[in-house]
Amino acid sequence: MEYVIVGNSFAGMFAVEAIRSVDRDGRIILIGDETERLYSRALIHEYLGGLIDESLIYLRDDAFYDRMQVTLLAGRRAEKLLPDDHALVVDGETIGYDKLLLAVGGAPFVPPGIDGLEKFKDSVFTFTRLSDARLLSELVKGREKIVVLGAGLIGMQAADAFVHLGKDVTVVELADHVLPLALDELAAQLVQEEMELANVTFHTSDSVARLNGKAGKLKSLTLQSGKEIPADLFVIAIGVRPNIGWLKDTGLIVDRGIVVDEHMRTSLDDIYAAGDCAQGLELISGSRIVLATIPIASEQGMIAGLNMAGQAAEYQGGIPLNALQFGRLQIISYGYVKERKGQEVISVFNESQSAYKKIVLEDNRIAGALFVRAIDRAGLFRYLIEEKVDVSPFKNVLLSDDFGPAALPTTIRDEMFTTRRSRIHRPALQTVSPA
Amino acid sequence: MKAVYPIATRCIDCHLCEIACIIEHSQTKSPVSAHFLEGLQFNWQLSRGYADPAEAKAAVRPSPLSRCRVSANSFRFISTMCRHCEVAECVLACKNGALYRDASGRVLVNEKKCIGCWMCIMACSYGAITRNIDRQNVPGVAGNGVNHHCDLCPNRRTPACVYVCPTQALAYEER
Repeated sequence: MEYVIVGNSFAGMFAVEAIRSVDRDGRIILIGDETERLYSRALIHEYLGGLIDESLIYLRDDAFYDRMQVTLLAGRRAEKLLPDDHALVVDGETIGYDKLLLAVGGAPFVPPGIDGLEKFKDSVFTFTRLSDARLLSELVKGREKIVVLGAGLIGMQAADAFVHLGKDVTVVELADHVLPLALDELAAQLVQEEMELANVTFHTSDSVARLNGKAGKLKSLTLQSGKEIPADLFVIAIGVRPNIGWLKDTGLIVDRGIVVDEHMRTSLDDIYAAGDCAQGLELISGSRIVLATIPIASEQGMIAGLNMAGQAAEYQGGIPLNALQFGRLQIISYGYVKERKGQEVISVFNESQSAYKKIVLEDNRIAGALFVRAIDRAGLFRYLIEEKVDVSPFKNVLLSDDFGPAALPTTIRDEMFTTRRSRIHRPALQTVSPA
Repeated sequence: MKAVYPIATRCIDCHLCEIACIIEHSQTKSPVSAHFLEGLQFNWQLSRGYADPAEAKAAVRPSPLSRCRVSANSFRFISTMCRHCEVAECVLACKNGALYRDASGRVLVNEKKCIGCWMCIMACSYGAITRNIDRQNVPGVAGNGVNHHCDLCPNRRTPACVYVCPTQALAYEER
């Protein structure tokens, strides 16, 4: 059996481990366009900001590929898919597969219509790779005024990294508050105030129209609102799109991402997809959307690997989930935290502690939950959301400091704590990590 | 693999499981020196009102470092802890692979690697993970700490909480 996996990050890694838990003989080829061994894309900001040692960003040890008997093709790009031939073209070389996993993740989106991007290209960056972090950490030594476009998770973390490097940072965001997908207005206000304490300047409900400067050197940016702000480095962080452009005209059914069923199968035979490039079931809305977060990518990769190796594992679906921290504010959010008409909200805000808890309910089921600083046991809410528990019997204690398993109805409490739960039909082997 | 399962109907909210856990994982392994020499704390009331355990500690009101936790509501009690899930949500969510399953099947954390991002707290549907702020690998982040959860007492034949429970409200068995 020839397994080919395109993508050397979380989804690909868990797919490798899942395949090997069932099949020690099949050949696995892992193709990635980055040269580094498995590292965590989520930690490149901490690395840039000098907050963590480089050794902490690698997901597995050096011997991982050998131990898993994986042939690694690093720094190689998959250019073309030939589904009828069961083959891939990688830098001109044709590689055949019996089972293929597309775990190609996302690519940063650069908005069209910003004047001057080409002219000042030495000062314009996206920030999604370790190589970007290395490049920026050298370049930033001679720059002072950093402007970040986009106050989503990547943009805000990039801004945070530059704050730690002692730079003057401005963030420009199109929505009317920061982190518009993960937070509500109150939590966003708390985060913005926390970052403003570190001298970050925010321009919300705005965007960048033009780059200005002389002789190829960036000097300032003109915003959509007309304001001109000084800048000598411009980081674009407005979002990531599934990396599927190269799969056009193959017959693969794509929407925003590669559409997958509960076995992570795509519309083409023997081709699976997982991670940031895949569009799988989201439990709250009941529709298929791209959920580009680590736990989803890892689980999808694992399920894809098991199915590729012949196990009938089923993906139960996921929900949006985030864990982030800015300044003193540790935040965990689940689902959809901005309430819509017809939804009920319960919340508690302890201003002196900057501690905020909010639940959004629809028909007595939790559609969104947000925790700022008060994150103990937040995971219980993941259970309540994913299992679509009717919370009306214990709604009044949901936000209490003492909320815990004892507050749950007996049947639910026993379901959770007395059985040996497994989220898929067959467990996957998870590796021993050497210290 | 054996893990610890609560029998909630027997729990009387005595918190001996938490105390036994803290002592078992202490250096001196004795309640008096664990408290007075090591500064370990047993009472959850002390840190009430502090959302951030690092701030509670700075105010000399640290939270107990037990890996099992008693929950109480309206005279119903239950002690819960990590279940070492066959498919561990925390391992799937860990940002850098600090969480892993060892050869015996236990889900463990590499305390030298954990960066305290709390993705595991977000991911664990059982609420079994807490923040240990007595260790930090990323000192530049406020309130940084490491993952803290049940390790099934690797130096004991029976986990300390199970051994000490006066009503046998915790069972150590294969299910």
